[in-house]
Amino acid sequence: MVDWKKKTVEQWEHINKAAVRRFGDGSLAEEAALAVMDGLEANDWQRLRAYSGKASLASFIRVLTARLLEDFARTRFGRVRPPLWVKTLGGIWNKLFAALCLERLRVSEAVEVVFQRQCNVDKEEIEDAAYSLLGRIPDCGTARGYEVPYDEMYHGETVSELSQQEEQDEQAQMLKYLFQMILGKEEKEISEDGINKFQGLQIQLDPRDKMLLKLCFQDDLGIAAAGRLLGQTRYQAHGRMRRIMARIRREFERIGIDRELLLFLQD
Amino acid sequence: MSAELNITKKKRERKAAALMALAAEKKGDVSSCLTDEEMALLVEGKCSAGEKDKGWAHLADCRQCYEQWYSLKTREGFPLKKGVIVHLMQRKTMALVGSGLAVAVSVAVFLNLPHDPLPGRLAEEPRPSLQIAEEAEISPAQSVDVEVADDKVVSPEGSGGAFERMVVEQKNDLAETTKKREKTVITPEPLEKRLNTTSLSGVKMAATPEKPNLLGRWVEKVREGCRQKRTEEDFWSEIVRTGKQLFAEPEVGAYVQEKEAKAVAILQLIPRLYDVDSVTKQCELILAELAEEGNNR
Repeated sequence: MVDWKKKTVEQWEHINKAAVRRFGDGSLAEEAALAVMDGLEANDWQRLRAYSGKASLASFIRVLTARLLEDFARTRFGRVRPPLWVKTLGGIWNKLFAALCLERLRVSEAVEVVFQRQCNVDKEEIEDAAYSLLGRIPDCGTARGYEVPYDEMYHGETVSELSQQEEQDEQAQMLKYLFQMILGKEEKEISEDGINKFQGLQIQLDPRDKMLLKLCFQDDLGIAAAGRLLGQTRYQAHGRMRRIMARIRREFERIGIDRELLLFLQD
Repeated sequence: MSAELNITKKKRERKAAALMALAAEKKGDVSSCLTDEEMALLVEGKCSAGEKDKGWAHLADCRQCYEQWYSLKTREGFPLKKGVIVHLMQRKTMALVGSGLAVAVSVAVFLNLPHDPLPGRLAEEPRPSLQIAEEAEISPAQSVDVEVADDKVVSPEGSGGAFERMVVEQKNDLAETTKKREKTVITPEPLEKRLNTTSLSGVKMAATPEKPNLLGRWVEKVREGCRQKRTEEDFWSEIVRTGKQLFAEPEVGAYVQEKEAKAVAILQLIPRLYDVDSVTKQCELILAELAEEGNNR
């Protein structure tokens, strides 16, 4: 008979640290850590009893902790679907959106929380992003009544469908912000034609390619570091990245959006 | 400079292109989320190639699982960063601050307490008078039986009178305080001397109340200081201070008064300058005074 309680208590320090990383060093983190313990103990340690021994128990409990912390956040704050441009930028933007617009933390607190969670980004950069996000989402943090409980979620996204017009509007907004923020051309606007061309863009990426792009351009990891996380050598990762970028460029050239990019880059 | 700008420009262009490609990528049906153990295996990198492919396929499309995987994968190598927010108004913090203040106040009070226990205690504690001794009908011989064990005075069995208890307590205190002071100022006296206190003339005053005892001790200290020709200012200041304190006490009896008069004379002679000549000169006078007193006896 495995003493799950003892094994869980042995991981208490990690659970506590994970809660502090997720919610900052406050009473909310303490509450979240206790909620994790309750979640593990629920139904006579049901989630722990599912452990078959393939992975190490410590890793298994860490995964459970991460998931239970997210469950706690959702039951506490509900869920707001982030705008497409926030999802596309990913990384700190997603985390800042959750911290500011959902958990309603103050900017300084949100910056600290994101700084703990994203190990490779400067605090100044996070702070700039926070103010940029608040400037673009004026009603961020106000209860808008469409936060949805966890049960209505599907893979982290809300079930509700967007109409075609809404989808197009979102894409236009995403492109506008993407160009403005990444290329630093606040005063320039992407043309209607450019938006239409983008909507004709069709790229099918291999899961590993997609992961590599996400790690490098959303989470701002270096190519070698991203490759390491995916179990590749630095040469494999760089080679893969070169191939992906060549493919994307070809696709852009095919639909003519490369000229839009060039226009944006011109001083 | 322009090369650097070009590199930055190129990087930005690459980033914009990559993010646009990610946004434009048509999502297929997202597979069901990984189980806890599958995720743990993926984080550890222990799964088979097939399991890995399945894992990547899911993570590439499920933002929630991707974020969990990313945080688990990157967190392990990175300790908690410094600069965490401290919420001052939390109950836990307030309790800590309160405890800290309490400790600080305790230390401040302790530091302001007088640290020389002898005069204060002598002034505060009730001292047994000769009248009380008469009432209790206890002969000096009985008092002499007081034993010293391990530097503590212990009363003999069966003599549980109030007076004896007081004497024993006071002797205990005295033994302790004298020991402490002697450790710091002069070499410790033999145990026998501490038990059988000596008068000015060297006649034993066994277990008489504390004043003569202290007086004898004080004179003994002066004598020792003179013999050793001590020139430390601290030593003589201490002698003068304790001497003055002793004579500020109310008199205990005629015998003691007589001794006190002698001691006052000695106190007047105690050197005020601490060079060898002055000390030698004054000490000669003191020793002469003591010798005269002994001869008279």
